[in-house]
Amino acid sequence: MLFNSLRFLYGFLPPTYLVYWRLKTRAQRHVWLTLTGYVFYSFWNYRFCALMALSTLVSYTAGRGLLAFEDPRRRRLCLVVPIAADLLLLGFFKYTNFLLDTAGGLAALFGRPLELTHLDILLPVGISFYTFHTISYIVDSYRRTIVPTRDFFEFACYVSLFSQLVAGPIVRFREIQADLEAIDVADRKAHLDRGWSFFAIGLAKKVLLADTLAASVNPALAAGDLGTASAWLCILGYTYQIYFDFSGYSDMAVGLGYLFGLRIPQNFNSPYKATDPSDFWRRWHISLSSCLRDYVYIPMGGNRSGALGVYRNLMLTMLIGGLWHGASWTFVFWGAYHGLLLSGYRAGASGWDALPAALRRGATFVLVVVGWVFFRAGSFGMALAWLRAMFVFTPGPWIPGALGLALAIGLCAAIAHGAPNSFELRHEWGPPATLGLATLLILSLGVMYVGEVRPFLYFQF
Amino acid sequence: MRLSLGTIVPGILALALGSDAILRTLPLDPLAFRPWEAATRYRAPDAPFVASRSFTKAHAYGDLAALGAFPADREYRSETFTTDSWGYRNPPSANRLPPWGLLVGSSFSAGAGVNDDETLAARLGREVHETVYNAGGESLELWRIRSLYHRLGMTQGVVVYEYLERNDPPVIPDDDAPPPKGPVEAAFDRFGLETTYLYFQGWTAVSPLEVALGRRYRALKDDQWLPKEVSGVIERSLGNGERMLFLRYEQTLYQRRSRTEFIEYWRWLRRRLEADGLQLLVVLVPSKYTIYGDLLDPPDGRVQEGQAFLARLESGLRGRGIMAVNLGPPLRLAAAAVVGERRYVFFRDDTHWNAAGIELAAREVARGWEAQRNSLPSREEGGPDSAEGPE
Repeated sequence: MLFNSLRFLYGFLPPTYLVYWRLKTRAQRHVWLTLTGYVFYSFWNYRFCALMALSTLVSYTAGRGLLAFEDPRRRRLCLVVPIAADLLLLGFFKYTNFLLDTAGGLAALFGRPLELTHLDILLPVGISFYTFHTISYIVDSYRRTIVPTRDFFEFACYVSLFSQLVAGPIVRFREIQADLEAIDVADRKAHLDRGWSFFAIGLAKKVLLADTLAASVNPALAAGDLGTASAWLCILGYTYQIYFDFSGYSDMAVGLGYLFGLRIPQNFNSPYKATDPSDFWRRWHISLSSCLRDYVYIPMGGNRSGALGVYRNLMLTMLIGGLWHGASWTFVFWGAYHGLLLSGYRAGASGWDALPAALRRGATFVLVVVGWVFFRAGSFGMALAWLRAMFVFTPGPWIPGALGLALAIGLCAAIAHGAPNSFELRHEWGPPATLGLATLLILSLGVMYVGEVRPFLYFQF
Repeated sequence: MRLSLGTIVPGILALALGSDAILRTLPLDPLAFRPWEAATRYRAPDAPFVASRSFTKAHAYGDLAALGAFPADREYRSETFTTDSWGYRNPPSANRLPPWGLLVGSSFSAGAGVNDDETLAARLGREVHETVYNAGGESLELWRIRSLYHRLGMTQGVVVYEYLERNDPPVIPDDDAPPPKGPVEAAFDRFGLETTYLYFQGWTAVSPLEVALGRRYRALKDDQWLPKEVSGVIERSLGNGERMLFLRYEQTLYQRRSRTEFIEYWRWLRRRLEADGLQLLVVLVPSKYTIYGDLLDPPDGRVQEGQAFLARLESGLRGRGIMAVNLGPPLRLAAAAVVGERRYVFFRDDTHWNAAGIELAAREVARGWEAQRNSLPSREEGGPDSAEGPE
């Protein structure tokens, strides 16, 4: 079920909301949010609810163990076993066929072809996100950054919270624990306007901007044979599509959180205003990049590993980040590319930072845009052809819908580069802005009514 | 009064839902681009259309022009669409006497895009000087065909089975009984609310709000604002310079299917019909792309496979003693003969044949019936289908 579907807006949200605020106790609300999270998830595939329940149970038990044990060996066991189980599940569902393909490719490279049959594995939606939720909970409990909860439904509700379940943000337990514990004293009206404001902005970003861009970019890329102008239109279209798609989803998640009295942290902070690659990663998918920093980069030694060690850590972290996005070498390459950008910036920061801010901002944006080619292309062949068309003049016809696409890119660019982001807004609107938002909502509903609804890009991760 | 999003957003959502619910109770006729959509909304029990209604649209146009948003390609025409008391496209009195023939088949049989007196049943009736009951509109299972000819009092005559090339092979059911009803429908039936259920079904199935908004949105798909490629309709140039619309998937080479399962179905159907004293005549109707594919500029030679597939199907059926008329060759010849004069046997803006195509089809069916009814062996040879050609 998608946030941008009529089924969600009319079938799921009203009963979930109304019953939630009728319930009075903390336990009741935890149970209700858990139940509705599973219902929400089951609309995609009810069979995988058991997988999420298993992951929840294992992580909760580990948390209880970490609460009870002081013995370092036992504590380590409570850390390693559930994380290994989580990663094994993630690895099996997400990476088995990727490994088979890679093994087959390597064997063929060495002249020993292998007959490896693809396994018929369906990737459970959101597994990358809820696995990160449970792992971060266990690690933080082990590090004593948080006190693990004794309340099973508080934890189950954290894992299965529908607003963040299938495409993030990756909210860490410590970021939401206070709200979950005070859930029974939450004031329904306190954040109502703010919640709907976030939701309406997010919906408009997704339905009116991201999906409009996708309507032109997807068929053009599927048709192939791009000229230089079309290649740039497509990559710029995709650059803004992925931003408005994912940040729109995150805004809707934040808005839904507010409607239920839960504060979900910021996930995007105007990333295309970044002035260097490091700044970009502090602004893009913040919940993921901070997790990678805290659970991968720093445990490897972070900045304290000597000059070469830091570069190694950066590269490995970004490679893992790339692989997390998808089981394909193009994602790994995209991670490596960003690892190189971060390393390059680290090596030449003093020179880079001396450049005018506008130049740094523009250069960072172009570097990020080039990276999206590998992220979007289904293969290296497609990525290289696309890059060639972008940088070596190639004549070609305009793609269908080019005028609309160019205008949409212009509008998106103005918003992404010039306007404040959702968290910079106060969400206290006067009548004209309120009517403007209402109009955007009506337009979004109109597009949803005609069935032109596309799934969120980050669902596949 | 303070304007607050906490009030306005839920208000808009509720208003949209309420408007949609109310608009669904209004007639669809003014919004529909042709009578078909209005006629199929509130269906009579086990029928494709609403009972006892007549719809007239002075400026109807083709389904492909509507589906793919090609306003410049619309061919406006007046269309009258009348249904009988059972929900089939016939004059009101058509079901009072047993007819000579019962025509079953797709929207081609029902006559999408043409007037009541131009449908295949009406034309065929004039050709054979008999009454042909039009049960076209959607593929019918045997229990529905049987129910119809029993209701019509047919103890002899012919069931004309129209098969459209692009459709899947019909499936032989496990038994002749109607399939069990779903729990909701069964619950309505239990309380004698079958008509209410059908109304409810029509109410939930079609949203005038969605239709109106969809039309506005599709108008943006003009290759300037949004690409047309997102729709399932393609526009191609004919050799005479005019444009013609096609369903994209008609280009697929579905003709490479095995014909065995088709023939098995019609063998089975013929046996069942013969047991009730009726004869079976299979009419093979080519898809529009099969007829016009090689008249395009540049021509698409792949469509010859479609022609060959229908020819193999026809010979296989006749070899089994089943009367069959392949409309591919006559329609193809007629299309090629008149395309230079900018005349056609299919609508340019619609996936269906036009009145000229239907008239030709009726003539060919009557001729085929006349030629085969006494010449084919009354009983088929047993054994496997030895006439199986290359697939």
